[in-house]
Amino acid sequence: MEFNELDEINKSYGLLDEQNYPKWVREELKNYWQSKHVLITGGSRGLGLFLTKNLLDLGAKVAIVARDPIRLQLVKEQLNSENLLTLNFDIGNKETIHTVASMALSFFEGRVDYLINNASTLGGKELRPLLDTPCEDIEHALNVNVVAPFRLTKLVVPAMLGKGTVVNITSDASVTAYETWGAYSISKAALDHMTRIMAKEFSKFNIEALAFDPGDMRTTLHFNAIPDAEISDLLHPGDVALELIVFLAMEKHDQERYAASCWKKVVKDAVFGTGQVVA
Amino acid sequence: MLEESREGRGVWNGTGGCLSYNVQIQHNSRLNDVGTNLLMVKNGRIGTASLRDLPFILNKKSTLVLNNAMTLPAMFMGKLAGQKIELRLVSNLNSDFRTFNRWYGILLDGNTDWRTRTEFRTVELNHASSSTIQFSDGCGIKITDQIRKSLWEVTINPSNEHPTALDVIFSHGQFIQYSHLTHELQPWDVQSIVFTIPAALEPPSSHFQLTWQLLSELREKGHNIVYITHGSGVSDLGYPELDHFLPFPELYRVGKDAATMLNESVDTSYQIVAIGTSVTRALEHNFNINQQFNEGIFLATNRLSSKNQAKVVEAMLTGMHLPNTSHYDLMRGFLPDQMVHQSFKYAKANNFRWHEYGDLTLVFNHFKTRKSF
Ligand SMILES: NC(=O)c1ccc[n+]([C@@H]2O[C@H](COP(=O)([O-])OP(=O)(O)OC[C@H]3O[C@@H](n4cnc5c(N)ncnc54)[C@H](OP(=O)(O)O)[C@@H]3O)[C@@H](O)[C@H]2O)c1
Repeated sequence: MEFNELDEINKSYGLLDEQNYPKWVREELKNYWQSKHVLITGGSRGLGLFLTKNLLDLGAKVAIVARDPIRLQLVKEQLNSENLLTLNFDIGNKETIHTVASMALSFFEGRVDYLINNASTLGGKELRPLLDTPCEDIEHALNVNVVAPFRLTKLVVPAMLGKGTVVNITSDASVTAYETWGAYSISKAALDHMTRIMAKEFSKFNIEALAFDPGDMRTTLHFNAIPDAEISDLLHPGDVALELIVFLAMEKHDQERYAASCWKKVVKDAVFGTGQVVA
Repeated sequence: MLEESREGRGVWNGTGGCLSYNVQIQHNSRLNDVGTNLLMVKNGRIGTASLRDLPFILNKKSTLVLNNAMTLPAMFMGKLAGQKIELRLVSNLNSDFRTFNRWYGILLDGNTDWRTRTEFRTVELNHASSSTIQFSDGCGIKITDQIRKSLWEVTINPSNEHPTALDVIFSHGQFIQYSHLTHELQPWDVQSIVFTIPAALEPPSSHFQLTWQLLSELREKGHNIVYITHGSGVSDLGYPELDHFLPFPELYRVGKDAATMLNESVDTSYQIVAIGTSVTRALEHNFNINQQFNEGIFLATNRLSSKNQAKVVEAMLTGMHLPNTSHYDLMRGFLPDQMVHQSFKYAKANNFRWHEYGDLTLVFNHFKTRKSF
C-alpha cells in the first residue's frame, strides 16, 4: 500500500492550516512550542515526520534520527529549516548513540525540553507466532524499542534537569495479547513499565516520563505488519501528530501510560468541547 | 554509562620520566568498578572515607560545582608527507562551545598507538605547516601554523558528507586512550553522568564516581548542585618542551543561574566544593575577575600552585595525583607542600588506586578563611 507522506506534509497536515484547529488553539500552541528543543527518534516517516513538520511550523528546534540517508535528505530538503538537524544513525547501535546525543546536545546548546522515543521495529521482517520467532528478532525488538530509548534517555536527561519530558511512543499491543505480534508486544510492554519507573524516579528532577499509544495509523510500520490493511480504517499520522502536540502543550498529565482513546478525548474536549484553554 | 565489563587491576611500575612510584592503578575501563575510596585531607589530618558518605562528610552546607562538559574524540590517525602520524587535539582555540574548527594539536608517531606512552611517540616534523591530513570522504584537518616547537595550530575542514567540524570530529576521531589501561576506552567509558555540552578533550575523571543516587542524597541533605561547562584540554602531552606550559588556557562557561547560585553561596556562607581540578581552575579564575562570580564565557589562564593559592574554593574533590604533575601542583594551592607529600605517602601506603578510574581525594582548603574576602 503506497501512502506518500512526503507529498502530504505540505498539504493538509500543516498546523497552520485552518481546517485542522481553530485560530486560538494555534496561537496558544505557538506560544508554547516557540523555541522548545525537541529530539525525535524516527522523524523521517510516519508519526515522527508529522511531529517534526508541525513542531518546526510552531517555532520549535527539532533534531531527528533515522537510518535511511536518502529519505533523511529528502525530508531535510522538503522541510528546509535552520531549526532542523537530521542525524543519520541507527538508534540500536550503542557505539554511535553517544554521537547522536552529543550532536543533538550541541545543536540544542545543552538544553532539551522533549525527548520523543518514537522509532520502533517489529523485531523481524514479518509477524510470526512466538514459537516460530527467532530469538534474534526478540533481541532486536528489545534493543531498538527498549534499550535504545533507555540509553538515549540516560544521555539526554542531564540536559532536562529542572523541567523536561521523556515521551515514549507505545502501542495497544503492549496490553492486548495479539497473536503473532510477540516480539513487538513484549518490547512495548517493557517500554511501558520502564516509563512508569522513569516517571517515579525522574519526578525529583522535575522531569516527566509519559507513554502514549497513538492508535493504528497508515504508516510504513503498519503496512509492514499488515500488508493488506484497509487504509480508510487507519488514522492519518498527521492527525495523530497534531493531537499529541496539543496534548503535550496542555501539561496536564495524570498518568504515565495513555491509551489512544483516553488522551485523544482529553484533546477533543479541550479544543472542541468545553473551550478550555490549551496551554 | 558502563556497558561492557572488563577485568583487571595492576601496579604501575612506571619507568622513564619521573614516573616510577609503584602505586596501585586501576587497570581497566570499567566505570562501575571505579574506586570509591576517598582520601580526606582536612584541618591538617589525613584519613580514609568512602565517597558514599559524602553527604555526611560535608557537615557544612555546601554548593557542589560539577562540570557538564561532554568529552570529544581527539585522536586522528592519518598521513603527513607519507609518514603515518596521529594528530591529537590538545587545546580549544574557538571562542564558544558552538564552533569546533580551530585547535592546538600535537603530532605523534602513527606507527605505534596509544598503548605506547606518548613520551616514546614524539616525532620531529618541522615542515608540517600548510599540509593537510586528508580523510577518504573529502574532509580533513589542515595544519595551519607552528606555534612553537612541537605545537601546531590546526583547522578542521568539513565536507559535503560531514558538513560541520563537530561531525568531522565524531566521524574520524577516537577518544583519547591511556597507555596504563589494558583495554581501549569505549564511548560510554569516557562520559560523565551529567554531560550536556560537547566541550572537553579529556573526561573529567573526578566525575566518573558520581551517581544520580549520590547527587540526590546530597540535595536531600540541603546541599546545592551547580553545573558549569569547562572545556578541559589535554593534561599530559609527552613533549617535555610543552609539558611545562600545562595547563593551557581553557574555555569555560558559567550560566546565569550558576553565577547567581554561586554568589548566593558566598553571601550565605555555603562552602564551595569544586568537583575536579578543571572546575577549581574555572571558579578561581572567574571569582578573581572582580571578587564575585560572573556569567559568561571566559578563558581560564590561571594556574593554581603554592604561590597562587585557591581563594574561593573551600574543598576540591579530585583524583589521585602523582608528584611532578600539573594536578599535583594544583593540590599545593590547597595545602602546605609538606601535607601534600604526606597525603601522597598515606595514599600509597594504604593502596589507594591511581589515575583515571581510580580513587578520589577530598581536600579542604588549608589556606582559605572566610575573612579573606
Ligand atoms: N503505525 C501504527 O499503526 C502504530 C500503532 C501503534 C503504535 N505505533 C508506534 O508509533 C511509533 C511510530 O511508528 P510509525 O508507524 O510512525 O512508524 P514508521 O512510519 O515506520 O516510521 C518509523 C521511523 O523510525 C525510524 N527508525 C526505525 N528504526 C530505526 C532505528 N533503528 N534507528 C533510527 N531510526 C529508526 C524510521 O526511519 P528509517 O527506517 O530510515 O530508520 C522512521 O523514520 C512507533 O513507536 C510505533 O511502535 C504505531
